Amino acid sequence: MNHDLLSRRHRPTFFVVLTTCLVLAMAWAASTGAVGIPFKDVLGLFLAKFNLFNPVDVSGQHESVLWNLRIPRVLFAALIGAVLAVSGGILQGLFRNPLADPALIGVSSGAAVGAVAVIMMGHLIPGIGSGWALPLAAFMGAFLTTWSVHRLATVDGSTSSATLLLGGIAINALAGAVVGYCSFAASDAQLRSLTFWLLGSLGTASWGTLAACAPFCILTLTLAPRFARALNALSLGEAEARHLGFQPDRVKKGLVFLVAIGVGACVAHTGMIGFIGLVTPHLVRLVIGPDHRWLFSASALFGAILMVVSDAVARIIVIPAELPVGIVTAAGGAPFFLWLLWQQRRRML
Amino acid sequence: MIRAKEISFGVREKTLVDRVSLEIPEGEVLAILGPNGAGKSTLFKMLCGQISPHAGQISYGGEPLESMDIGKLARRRAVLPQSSQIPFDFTAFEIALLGRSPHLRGSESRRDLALVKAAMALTETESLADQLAATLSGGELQRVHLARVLAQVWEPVEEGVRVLFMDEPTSNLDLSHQHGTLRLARRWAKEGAAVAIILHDLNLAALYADRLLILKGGKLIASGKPREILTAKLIQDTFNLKTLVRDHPENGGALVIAL
Repeated sequence: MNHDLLSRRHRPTFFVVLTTCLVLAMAWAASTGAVGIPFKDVLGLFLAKFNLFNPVDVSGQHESVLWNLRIPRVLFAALIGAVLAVSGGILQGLFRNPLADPALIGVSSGAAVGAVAVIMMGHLIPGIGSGWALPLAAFMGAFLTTWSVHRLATVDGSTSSATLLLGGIAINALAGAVVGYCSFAASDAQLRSLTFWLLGSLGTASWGTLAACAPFCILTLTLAPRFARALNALSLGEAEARHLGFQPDRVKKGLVFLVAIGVGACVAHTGMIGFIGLVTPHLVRLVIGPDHRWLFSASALFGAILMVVSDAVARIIVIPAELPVGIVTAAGGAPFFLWLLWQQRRRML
Repeated sequence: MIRAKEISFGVREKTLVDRVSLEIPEGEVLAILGPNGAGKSTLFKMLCGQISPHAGQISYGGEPLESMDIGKLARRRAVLPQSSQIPFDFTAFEIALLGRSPHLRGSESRRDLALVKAAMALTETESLADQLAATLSGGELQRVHLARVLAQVWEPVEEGVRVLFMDEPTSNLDLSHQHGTLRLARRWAKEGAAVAIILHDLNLAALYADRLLILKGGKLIASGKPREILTAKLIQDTFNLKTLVRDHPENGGALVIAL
């Protein structure tokens, strides 16, 4: 207990540590991969790019790999990790349930169904294959599932965790059926895209995808903290939040919208990457407590670190091939989830 | 002055509260009494603005409750819930601090922190300040919520009279804290707040309330000063319980003895 409080007084330290770790993780991830690039070259390239200093000669190949592949990829990973972690934090606060997660309650699969529909039917409607249709369809899918799961699980202002998780299971199964049918009916090319959705990968990363994804992600990341105090009040219950001057309905609508936009944009470009949204806010809460005013920014940093590292691991573990990052996050996240359940069980005893 | 005029609320065919009128002037404590299912909680929820009556009007100082801004309302009206489960590991102090939310612009000032500490001192929860909510007993958590609610309506505000609602505030508390809580309700009334409390214990109600309001089957059965309305017959009719009602030996109020 003293440990918790000690850390709460050291919130600034935690932020400094997280930021440092993120910078280090990004530098490490940029230097590792099929082509190893020395750390000093990564640093040198950065300094040179911003015309600060030009200490080392970076080889043309290294520069091209770094600038065209690694750096957009690492930034993309950081952005996706941050959005998934913050979305997890939002959903946990919104449902007043530490088990909520975009993948677990079906938001990601809703988004995936939207995206898969575009992949499968894109050729039927001219123009739909353009860059905007995919994120939009993913957003619609995410929005519909978040909203319906919430409506399903909330009776008279209290959200039942059992209904929530069961609703998530049902939606995941339904989405699985849709995606399964699509993969059955798909052509070879379509099948490759579909498999990518199911496993989750950052393989599409480029400056282009980064630019397409970033506006939505940044919207979610910058607007979420505005709801922080309302979510704190909401953890007492909906009636209590109302008595404290917040409007739970308005807060919920706003947050569901932000999660759908953020997760929709992520899923549209990366497919389903689980567990980052579940695990990150938990770990952050263990260190600095549940106050949402700090939770969101710390989760964004921590989620970015986890995703950057997971993606680097996915890239190097089976060189020269590349593992879908969803496999890495699931392999790390699932045991953590089990540990979490174990801890909760012990707490109830 | 809180005024309710002929307010009713029903679910499907069933009328839970049937045309109840009441007034709570500034400086008074009103106790709402009645058997289970009498409509106390429904009436309470309507009075504090959680649900809207299907018929009738409620006004705070002449202003209709339904048209009041929810943020403005929260700066002058606080509601103590019966119990509240908290899913995350907030400390007792952080929970009490939530009471200041309606007054904040940005983050809490030193004054807010000091004021919450003072509220926790009043409810004897200072020593629990650093404990996590999950480690508190039911009664301790109840007193932390009381501190939160008191911090919310700690001082007079421009927007109007302060109002304090408490739903069975004594249910989880030991004997001395039951009295401590109701003494705090009295203190707030003395400083000009209008206070409404749902209670089950007739003797506690007689000791601390200025007026009682007795409900049964959604209807107002009786209301008035405790010594004037508490009679063995009323209690028999309302609660189906045989009692003796005597003068309190110390303060001349009503003393109810169950037989």
